[in-house]
Formats: sequence, C-alpha cells, structure tokens
Amino acid sequence: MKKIFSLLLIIAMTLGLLAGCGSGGTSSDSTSVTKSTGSTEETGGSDTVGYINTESQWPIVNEPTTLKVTLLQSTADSVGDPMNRWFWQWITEKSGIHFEFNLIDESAREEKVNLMFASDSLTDVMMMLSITNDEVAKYAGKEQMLMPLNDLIDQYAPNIASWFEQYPEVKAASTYVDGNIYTLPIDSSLEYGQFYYTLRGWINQEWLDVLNLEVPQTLDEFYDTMVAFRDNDPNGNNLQDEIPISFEPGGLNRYIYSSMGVMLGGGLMSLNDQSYRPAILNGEAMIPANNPEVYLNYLTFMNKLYSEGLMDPDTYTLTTTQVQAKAADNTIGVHFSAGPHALMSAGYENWISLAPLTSEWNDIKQWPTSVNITPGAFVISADCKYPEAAIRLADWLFTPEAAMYCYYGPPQDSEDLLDGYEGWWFDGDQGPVFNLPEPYQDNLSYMINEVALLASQHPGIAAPSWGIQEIMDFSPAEGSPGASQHWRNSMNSQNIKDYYTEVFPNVYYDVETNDRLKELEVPIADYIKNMEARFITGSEPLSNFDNYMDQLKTLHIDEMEQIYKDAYASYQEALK
Amino acid sequence: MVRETTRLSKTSRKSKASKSSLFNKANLRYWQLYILMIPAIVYMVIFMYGPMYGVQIAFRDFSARAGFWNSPWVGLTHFKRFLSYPDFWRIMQNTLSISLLNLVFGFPLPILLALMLNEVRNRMFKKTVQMATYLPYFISSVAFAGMVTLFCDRNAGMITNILTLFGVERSNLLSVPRYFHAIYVGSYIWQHTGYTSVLYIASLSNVDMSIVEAARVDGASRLQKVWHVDFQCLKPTIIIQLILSIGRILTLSYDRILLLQNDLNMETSDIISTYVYRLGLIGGQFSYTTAIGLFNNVINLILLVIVNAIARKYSETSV
Amino acid sequence: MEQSIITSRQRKSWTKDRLFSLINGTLLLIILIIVAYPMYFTIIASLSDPLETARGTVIFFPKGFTLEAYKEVFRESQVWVGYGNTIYYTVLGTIVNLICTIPTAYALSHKKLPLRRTATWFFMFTMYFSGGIIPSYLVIKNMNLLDTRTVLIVCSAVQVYFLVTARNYYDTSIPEEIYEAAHIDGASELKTFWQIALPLSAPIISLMILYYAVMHWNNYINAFMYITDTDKYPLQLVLRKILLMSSNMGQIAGTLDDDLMAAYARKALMAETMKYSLIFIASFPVMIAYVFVQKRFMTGLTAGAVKG
Repeated sequence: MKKIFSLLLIIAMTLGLLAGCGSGGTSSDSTSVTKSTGSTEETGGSDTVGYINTESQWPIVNEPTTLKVTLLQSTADSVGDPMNRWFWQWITEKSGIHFEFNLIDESAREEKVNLMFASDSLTDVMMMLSITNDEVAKYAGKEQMLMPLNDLIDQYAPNIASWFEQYPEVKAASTYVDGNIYTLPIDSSLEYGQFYYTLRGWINQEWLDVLNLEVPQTLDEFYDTMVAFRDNDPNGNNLQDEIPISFEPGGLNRYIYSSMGVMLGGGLMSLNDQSYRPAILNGEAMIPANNPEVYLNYLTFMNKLYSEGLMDPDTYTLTTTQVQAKAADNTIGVHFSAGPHALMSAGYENWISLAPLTSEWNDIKQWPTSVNITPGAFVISADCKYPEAAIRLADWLFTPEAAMYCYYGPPQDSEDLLDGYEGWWFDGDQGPVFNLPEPYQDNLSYMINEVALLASQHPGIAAPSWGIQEIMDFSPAEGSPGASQHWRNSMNSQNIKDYYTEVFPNVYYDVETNDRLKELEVPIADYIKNMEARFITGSEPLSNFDNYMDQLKTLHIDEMEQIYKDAYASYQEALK
Repeated sequence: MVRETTRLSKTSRKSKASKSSLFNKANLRYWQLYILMIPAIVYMVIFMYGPMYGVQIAFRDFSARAGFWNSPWVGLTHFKRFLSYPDFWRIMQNTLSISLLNLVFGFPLPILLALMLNEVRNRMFKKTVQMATYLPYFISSVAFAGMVTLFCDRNAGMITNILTLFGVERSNLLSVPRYFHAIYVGSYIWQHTGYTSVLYIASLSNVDMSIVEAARVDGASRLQKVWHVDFQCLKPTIIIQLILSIGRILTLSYDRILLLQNDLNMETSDIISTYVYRLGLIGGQFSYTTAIGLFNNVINLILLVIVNAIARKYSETSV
Repeated sequence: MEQSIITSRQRKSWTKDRLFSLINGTLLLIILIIVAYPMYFTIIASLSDPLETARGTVIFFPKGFTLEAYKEVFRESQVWVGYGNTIYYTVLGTIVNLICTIPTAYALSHKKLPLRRTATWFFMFTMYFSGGIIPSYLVIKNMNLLDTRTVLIVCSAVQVYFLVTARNYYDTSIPEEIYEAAHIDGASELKTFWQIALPLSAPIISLMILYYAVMHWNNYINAFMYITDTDKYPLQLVLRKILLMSSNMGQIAGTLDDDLMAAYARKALMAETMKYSLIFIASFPVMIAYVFVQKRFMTGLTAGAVKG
C-alpha cells in the first residue's frame, strides 16, 4: 500500500509539474507579451498617434481601428449584440472605430470580472461594470492592470477635463491614492439627476385620508400611524389584514437612522446590510454598529415594529410578486422604492412621499444625499493599444448630446438618424414620442430595444434629458398617458431635496489598508447581518446586546472604524 | 484449463521479480488495453492533473500579472489565516453535519426502497413507484432550488402549510437557521433516493432463485428472506458505495447550497465550498481560497485512504 | 393429521405474508405520494394565476387556469436558444463521454491489466483532489476554449464515479474465461473488446448514456464559468438568470430611474409568472425521454446484472 501510494504521488506530481511547465510557460509568456485585446493587425499603434483626429470631434480616428469593449448586459435587456441598436451603429459610423463587444450578464458580473482580472484577460475598454474601489486598489494600484488616465484626459479629453475642473469632487472621487485617475464615473449630481436616484418611503394616502391622519413627521408619529394602520381597518374590509410596512424595508432603516442623525452610506441594501458600513453622525465618520447608544435605539425600535406586527413578517424573503399581490389587495401601508410604479401599474396617485423624520434624539430633518458620483464606469486596460481613441470616446460621453442620445436617441429631424430609425418628437400632451414600428407597443420598449442603451448605461452625465429644456419643463396634461410617468418629477423633490446632508464619500484606500479592510469586513459583516436579523425578529433577546457589542470588539470593529475615520479626514483635507 | 495452469506456472517459474512479468511476452498483449484508455488518460492529464500545478498559489500571494510562477511566496500564511478565522469551526461543522446527515439518512433509504420494491407483486404498482421515485433526479439544481424556495415560502409554501398543520410556527423555512440542514438533506434525499436505488434493484435481480426457494421451504418469513437473502446479495455493492460516500464527506459542492443560501440561514448554510466561492470568485481572494481548497483535499485524501484500508481488512471488496 | 398441520402452518405464513405485503404496499404508497406531489404541484401551479399561487390557494387543482405562463416562456427567445444549446451539448457531450468511459472501464476491469492498481488510482485520485477554480479556468483559457461550444462538450469527459460503476459492471458480468477463450482463438485485446465485450455492453452503455445525458442537461456551473456569450447559454443558465432576476428586484429598486425600474418590474413580474412553467419545461423532456427509454433500459439492466 505504501509503495503504491508513494508511486502514485510521484506520478501525480510529475504529471502536474510537466503540465505545469507547459502551461506555466504559456502563462508567463502571455503576461510578458502584450496580448491581443482586440487591437489586431490593423495599422496604427500607440507610438504613432497620428491615427487620432485632433482637428474635430468626429471622426475620432483617421485609420481603421478596433476597440474591444466589455459591457454589462442588464437582465432586463435581452437585445444581445449592441450593434443591433441605433446608438452603437451611429457611433461606429461617426467615430470610425470598429467595436467588438464582450457582454457580461448582470447576474454573473462578480464572478466574470474577477476571472477576467485573475486571468489577465481584460479587454481594451470596460464600461458600466461598476469597478469597485477595492478592485481599483487591487488590480490597478497593486497590479497595474489599468491604464492611468491623467495625461490622456489632459491631451485628448477636453470635456472631461473641464468637467473635472468645474466639479473637483468628481475628480477627487475618481482619483486613487497614488494620484492616478483609473476610472471615469457616472455623475448624477446635477439637480435633475438627483430626483431619479433617491429611494424613499411612500405612504398610502388613501388610508391616511380614511383615518383622518397627517403624514407623520417624527418617529413617534410614524409609530402611531402604523399602529392606526394596523388596528383601524383603513382598507375597509373588516379584516385585520393590513401590513403597515412592507417592501424593501432596507429603506426603512434609512428613516430610522436619519431620524437619529446618522447618515447612511449610498445605495440600497437589504435590511440588515447597512449597520456595518461607514456613515456620518454630526460630521464625524462612524460605524452605526459600533455606537452602542445609537445602535441599541435602532434595534429596539425595529424590534418593536416587528414584534407588534407593524412590519411584514416576510420582510427578509419577500419577492416582487408577493408584494404586488399585496399591493393589489390594498394591504400595504408604507413601502420603499424610487417610486410606486415599481409595485403597481396603476393607482400611483394614492401614494405620497414620506419626509425625513425627527426623533427624541435629533430634531433636524436630514436625509442622506444619494451617492452622486459612481466611479468605475469606464476603465481602460493597461494593455490597450489605442487608449487615445478610447478616451476620446469617453470624452464624448461626457457631453449633453451624449446624454440625450444614450437615453432617447436623436430627435426626429436630426441628421444623425440612420436608415430605418425615426427619432422622437415632442408632443405637447404626451412628452417625447416615437413612431412605433411593429411590434412595439410603447415608447419604452422601442427605446430600449432599438434605439439606445438602457438609461444610465453610460458613463458621463447621467441625466437623461439634461440640457433639453423642453423636457425638463414639461409636465403633461392631467389624465394624458404621459401624466402617470411624469407626476413624480415634482414629487421627487418634495419632502427630500431640502434636507440633503453629506454622507460618507467614495474613498480609495492604499493596497495594504484595502487588504486589511477586506479581511476585517467579511467576518464582521456576516456576524452583523446574522445578529441584527435575530434581534429584530426577536429570536435573540435585546438583553444580549452587550454581549453582541463585546463580540464585535473582538472582531476588531474599532480598527475598521478607525480606517474609515482616517479616510474621511484625508478626504476633507484634500478638498480644502 | 490444464493448459492454462501450466502456462501460468511456467511464467512464474521463469520470472525472478514480479515486475518483470509485466513485460513478459505473454503479458505484453495486455498493454494494448492502454490504447483503449487513451482518450480518458488524455482528458485526465489535461483537465484534471494540468490544473493541479495551480495549487501552488495556496503558498503564494497570487498576482494576475506575475502569473503562477512569479507571485511572491508566502508559505503557510493563508492556512494560518483560515485556521484562525473566527468562523472556521462553524463552517467545518456545517459541512460535516450536512454530509453526515446525508449519509445516515440518505444511504440506507435507497437500499430499503429497493428491497421493498422487490417484494411487490403487482407489476403496475411497482413500475409506477419506481418511475415516480426516479423522476426527481431529472430536475436540475437550478429548477430544484426554485422549487424548494417556493415550497418553503411563508404563506404560499406547500411544505410550510403542511408543517403548520403539525403545529410548527409559520415562517419562511429558509430563513430559520436550524431548519436548513433538515431542508437541504431532506430535499436532497427526495431527489436522489429513487435514482440511487436503481443500482440495488438491478443487483437484486441476480438473486439466485434456488436460495429463495430453499428459504421458503425452511419456513422463513418474508422479512427473514429479505434480510438473509436479498440483503446479503447486495452487500458487496453496498460496501463499495459506502466507501465512496464516506471518502467524499468533505466534498460537499457549493452549487446546490449557494442557490438556497441567504443572509438569515448563513450561520448553518455556510460550508467550506460556499465560503471559498464567496471569497474566491466574488471576493477575488484566489490564494486564500486555493489554500482552503488544498486543506480540504488533503483531509479528503486521508479519509479515503483510511476508509479503504478498513474496508480491505473487513471484507474482500475494496476500491 | 399431517395434512392439517401443514395447512395451518401455511395459513399462518399466508397471513403473515399478506400482512407484510400490506405494510410494504402502504409504505410505498406513502413514499409515492411524498415523491409525486411536489412535481404534481409544480404542474398545477404553472397553470394557475400567479397571484393565486402567491396567495397559497393552489392545492389540488389549478386556480385561475391560464396558459399565460407557458405563452410567456415560449415568447422569451432566450429559452429557445437555451434549449437548442442544451440539446447540442447533451448529444455531443454524451458521445464524447461514452468514447472516454466505456473502453476505459473495460480495460480497468481486466485483472491482468499491467499496473492495474496504479491506473485505477490515477483516476480515483481526481475525485478527491483538484487544482481549483482559477487553475482550471486558466487551462481552458490557454487552450483558447473560453466562450466556445467545445469546452462544454469536453470539459467533463470523464466522471470517475460513473467510470467506477461501469468498471464494476465489466468486472462482474463478463467472466475472465471469455477473454481467455478469445485469446486462444487468436484475437488481440482490442479485437476482443470490439467483437465480444462491446456487444455484451448494451446495459451498461444505456446506463452511462442516462447518467451522462442527465449530467449535461442539468449542469449550469461549467457554462457559468466558461461561457460569456449569452447565445451559447444552456437552458439551465437561462433559467438561473430569469429566476434570479425577480429576486433581485428589491436591490435595484432604489438605484435606477423609474423608466428602467418600470421595465424591470414588468420583467420581474413575467419572471415570476414563468417560474413554475420554466421549471417544468426545463425538466420535462428528460423525464419524457426516460419514461420511453426506461423499459428497454431496465430490462437491459436486469438482464446484464450490475452485480455487487
């Protein structure tokens, strides 16, 4: 047995080594040789920058050039090849660049992007993949796999350069600690853009009317209103089937935390996924879970809501259809989303936006600003042979024209239309309208499938109709089909806009700090997600809170908080 | 037959060491058999043994640009990190628990089913049950996860509804950590029992009818016949299957569990391979997760060797 | 006198016999229900109004009978593409599997195979030891097989577990004497395999086809890792994409402008509707195929006898 075993081991190792030598050689070869990232034998290389047209915006290149671009394919998008849409057809024609697309499905984004980095097989350009700060630190800072854009921007991208000058915080958010700019962001900080990206609570106006109540303004009023919803049968069917708070309770904790003065970080996450992320309280960076007072108050209130039947018991596992079913049955009092039309196809007028609340611990209404700058929308591989062409493309995407084309496509008489496309025009009653060919039934489908990328699918300025005054001013006539789509424009700003307060900004960490942060974050996040759910649902009694806090200390939560504090301090220094 | 024996003894007389008989003229022809194995061997070398050189990144700090050979060496750092991970024991426990439950409940059931079916006289009934128990095997892991999720739903879940009748508190079954093992193992058994039993059913058809007759004449009850005749016939197959199963206790794959995992049941659903997946493929920490994988593999190997040795000692069958 | 003793003993064993059959039968009936109901439920749920199913009112019969779910599935072109791809991968993949597995199993079953133990361990070792995700990915990449159809056909050419099963078959159902006889008649080993063993292999070949075909049909991990182009997606990956979409709805709700969200909401609702019908469609063909093949495969199996 021993003999056979050692024989086996020797064979296995030999084979392994042999194979290893073979492919090991190949892989080290491939790292030293600049791999074909799509920039093939076409004429022009990065040494002869004459291929770039520097005289005018279009065309971008004077010689045939190929760029391989990776795009994110959203799950709601089943068009496939981007060349099937007007947008990329037009760009190809105008710029002279030939594009080869590599589409990554949204549901596989994490895995695919990691694999691309790990196997050193990036394409020339990667767009809309939300390259995180962590990935920038690891793959750009440490491994130098992304091309620094600073010089390229100065030389070839006037739009981006002036945008950065005008809005230094955008530049700051895109600059890594080593001073290099590796990614370009989506900038949704314009007035108009802010409306779109804010998640907030919506309360059932019908029920308020029936019960003669006002929209709650404080945490206590909120609680009382919910109790009234539960007990006083506002949907009038003599059954106690009302669920005061449902869908996407991840929005609920924003209200509770903000009522205590804690500004949570950006983006929507599930209910128990936020207490370990950096937040701002009274101008200081902190981790909500590391502040026993704040955290205990939060948990107590949430537990109260849950145990008294004010919160949907399926909170953690709701699916869209279930919520839609409940909404259709008129059993929901409050829900959280960017708008009620996420839940229902009619009846949005019944909902009114909930303003930020105040509480016994804080009497200033505050609301976390949406994260306006989303970096990581456009990166260029360090192996790219035609970075000038790539940056010129990105540069155009930072123009208002691009914003419009990305969303609507060209207007109907524009010379940018190609054969087979009609363009949109502005109807006084309905707003932007298309000539819908078969088989399309509505503007949205036509837009998404034929004309442009899905909205927000481009770096640069993310305000779809920015610069088109008509559209910005437009409000459709009562009862017209467009009315239901546009009602929220005014609603959006109401109740929220005035209370925007600073949140923890988008910061970069150097390689070591980044690694340490990742190491600390995983066990802490897992633990908090688990325990918070238990406290809220009551499986864990609140009397164990102190143990919980002690346990977090052993997981080095103080160290993690200090990292955030330091980062915030340097960020503020840099802004001065 | 006589010629046979003579030839063999001639061979053994002529050879000095046992190895030379490998290349003995008489045995040369058997090397032909390796030609039959060429496609499989090629596949193994390229796709299975080839990647094994990558295991070395468990001892390195893997960098994509540097590749495998040039990444800096860090020795046992990753192993230490894994062993000092606060949840290390929890993950190991979960993995072991699920595997052992699978073994304890999932191993005997197909055997039982086969024995029971074998006793059924009515062909129609037998065929129906057999077909029905086999069908779940065809449901893919994705579809299956979809079904389980739907069935465990708080309000609309079929299983939830049934359990409520028995007085169990109504909740989303997949969000209660202590239910997870039962749900996973139960559903796994539901899906695989029929499929596994086919092996045993087929073996049972080899039962020597004369022995059965003899047993009947001796006055054995049905139960006794099943135990002393049928079960004995299955024994060799059972032992091999048992060896294979035990050796794979720590190889619980992530693809099925990942689909059922969520934040709430994480404390009982997180196993070695899902942890590796989460940190490796999603978190990009390749060296660390390869180290964990290696650790896992080494334990598996040890287990296999032990189990095989034990089996060899106590019965004539072994792998 | 003797006669009556035998009769009473026989009578006792008859009743015991009957009791045994009764219990046996009842237990099996319970098993049948436990096994069959979930599948039955999936079918009736797929024919019901999704809101009714969400409310939990569907138990024995469809409620709000509608074919909308199936219509929706058939309208979704990805499903057709996925179907086509899966059939392609399954057929070609299984052929490759057979070529790699059957001859090897036969060879390994030969007691006289030189270095038999080593060869067996050569295969078995890989069941417990593997290089890992990244190295495997790199091997595929270096062979330029990424995002090709070929990779899904060859990357799982040999499943050692099945190989061992097949080897056992040859081990136990073809006696060594047959080989010896063939050799005496002057046949080479290869010829013996081709002309003698293969014709006797019908049962094990059918079993291997079943095992491997199902493996290909249901696999999603390989495609997930190696395929990026959605046109090459097998059905299971399409299924996963769609099933995942509706549960992701919550996470994206707050971050998009509402037109996009409306598009998502519509898609998510459709995905919900399609869930049960998709599950059914993804599994149905294989089940049907099995039902038809079952008769010949089972008789083959019992005849050939996969002995322990």
